[in-house]
Amino acid sequence: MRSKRVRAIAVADLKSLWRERIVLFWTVIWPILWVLLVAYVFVPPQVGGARAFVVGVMNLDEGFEGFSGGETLVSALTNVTEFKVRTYNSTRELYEDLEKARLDIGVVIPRDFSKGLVLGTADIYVYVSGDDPREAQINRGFAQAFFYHFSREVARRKAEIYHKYFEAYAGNASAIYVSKVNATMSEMVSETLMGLANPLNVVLEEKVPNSLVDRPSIMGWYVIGAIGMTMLYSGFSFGATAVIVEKERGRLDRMIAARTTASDLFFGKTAAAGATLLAASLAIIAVGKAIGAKISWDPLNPWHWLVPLNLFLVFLMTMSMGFLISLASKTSRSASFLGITLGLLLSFITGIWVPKWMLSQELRALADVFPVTWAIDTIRGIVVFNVDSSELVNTQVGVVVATIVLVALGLLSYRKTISRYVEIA
Amino acid sequence: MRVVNVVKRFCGVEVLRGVSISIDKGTVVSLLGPNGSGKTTLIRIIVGVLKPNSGTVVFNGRLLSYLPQEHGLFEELTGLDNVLFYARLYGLSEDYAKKRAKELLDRLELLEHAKIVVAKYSGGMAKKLSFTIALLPDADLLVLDEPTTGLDPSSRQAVWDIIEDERRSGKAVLLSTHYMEEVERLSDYLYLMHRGAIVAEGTSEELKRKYAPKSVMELQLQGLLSKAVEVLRASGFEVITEGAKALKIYTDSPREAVSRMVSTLHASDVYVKSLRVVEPTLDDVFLRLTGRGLTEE
Repeated sequence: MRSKRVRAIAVADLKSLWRERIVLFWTVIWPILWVLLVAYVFVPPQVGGARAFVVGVMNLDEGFEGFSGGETLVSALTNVTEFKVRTYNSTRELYEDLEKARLDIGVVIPRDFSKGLVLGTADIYVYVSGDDPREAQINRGFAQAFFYHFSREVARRKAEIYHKYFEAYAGNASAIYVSKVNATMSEMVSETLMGLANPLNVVLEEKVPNSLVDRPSIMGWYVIGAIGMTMLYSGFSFGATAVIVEKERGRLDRMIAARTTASDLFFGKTAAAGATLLAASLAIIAVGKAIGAKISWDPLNPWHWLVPLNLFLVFLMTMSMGFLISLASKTSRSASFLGITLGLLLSFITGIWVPKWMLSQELRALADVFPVTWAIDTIRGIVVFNVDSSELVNTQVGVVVATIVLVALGLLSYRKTISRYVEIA
Repeated sequence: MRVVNVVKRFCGVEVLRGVSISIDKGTVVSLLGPNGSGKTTLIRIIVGVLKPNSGTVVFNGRLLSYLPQEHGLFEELTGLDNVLFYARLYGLSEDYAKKRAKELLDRLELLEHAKIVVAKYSGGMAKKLSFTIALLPDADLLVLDEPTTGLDPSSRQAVWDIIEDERRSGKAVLLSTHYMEEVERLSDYLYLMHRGAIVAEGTSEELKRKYAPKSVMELQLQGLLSKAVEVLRASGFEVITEGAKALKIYTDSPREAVSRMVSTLHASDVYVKSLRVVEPTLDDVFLRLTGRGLTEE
């Protein structure tokens, strides 16, 4: 009989929730909109691969003694995978395109470029553009890197030429063995010239955070974040309004008169909210998978069952926090507003929707102690980053303990809220 | 069902002060009183939503059913979905609930709207659906809090007919209402409530006989009402004001009172525009007992 009542409340509540467009919007549409926004606006498909830079070149070089340094430079620019080179016949057009941000980098090769390269130092004019300071900074970095390498390559070539001149003028002297450096004179001069051209050999290795490895992983991170976000504000809202809405609509007294108990109502409401959020989570995952998010779940791997467990624990935690919020609300409107506002706010400042590395030091500290973030990060660790299971154990224990504490507080709040209206709890 | 000496306090304020009532099988008992008299609190105690601070509620039946003032419906669900929801809470089978609901909805002319969402119902339709739900279970006691508020006359008549049928089938009905006509037609016994206490009880006739005057004169006046009230009271009339230009006079001998009243008013330059002698109602009983009308806020 009791299970029938719980089922009746759950089914009616579920039907009622899904027929309310505003609930459908906040629970399913809103997080999916964010996922799509991230996928096609903030992290467009080219992110994660090599970025292309549009480079405009105006080559005015007249050459020197049959050598065209300008053409060599244009050819070198064209060979760089990241550069999409556009040549110009007019400097004015190049400047215009730079000003209109049609170009990322502009290069003007002056008339005496070849002569400068051969006889001394060549001038070159490089302009960087960008839609914003960050973009311009990236463009400047790429331009500087290219010309740094080009400049070193020119120096190396010059060193080789001067070495050949040395051998020609030194004759047999170049073969003299210098014991102090264990090399011939020619070898020693060659090494010295190369050292002048290339004094520092920098070993540069890229180490990026897990979340920035590639686009599918970035999308996977955000898909789980979207689930966390909807769980936060919907769980808060469902918990906060669970009792108040029944009272406001006059159903609470009627249900109690029909021998419904406070725990029937609690379990019925929780089941309806849980089913709604499960459906929303599946919809978000389906959309995420469809747009190429990395979400790998293997039902044969026992550790992967931590994913549904953590989703359930997140739901219990947020619903319980919602019951706590209901203590501060007198109407379902204020309860819902408070739940959604707090949930959205927390999802942005606790590393659930916005990555922790983007947060200030203080907010990062908040994210580190927020148990919902622990659970969401555990899910991310499993389905996005294939984290070793042993790394999850400590966090998982923390999530379980936090859930138990929050559910206990939630139940106390629920009883307190229901006792405001009826005296059966 | 018996309520014995029930006391209820909210935040230290006593809203029920030793209330006792009883309802027998096959009777309709009405609670009559203005807003704030404690009727709904008493009903909420009877249906088990509130606990009394002292006193007891004895109900030996199997089941009671409750129609609250608010409809208590899921607005996003259809009428039939609402019926089935409460049927499940009462442990009724779906077939039985559908059959019973069909019969009641048909009588209330709501059957063709059963598959429409309640949000599209008018207030009267929602009230009728709510009433149908209250009658779904085979309850021994029906507790109906203002069952006909917001209904048109023909729907009200249909509801009354159904309540009478329930009484005939041996059910006990506790009715809370503002409508005198409803009370007069349906009630076997009445409890008049004022400020959390029962101020009088009995059948309608008994109460009128015991507390009401034999006749009531209803007057429309031309002139200063306050002056008229003053002079009439000074001449020994029992005067009740009703609005800015009307008043009632309670009397046991209307024939003698009319001529004396007209001459008293005439001497004070107040003239009678119209005069009607009517039978006393329960409102008059309540006025005499408490000094205020049943419908006064």
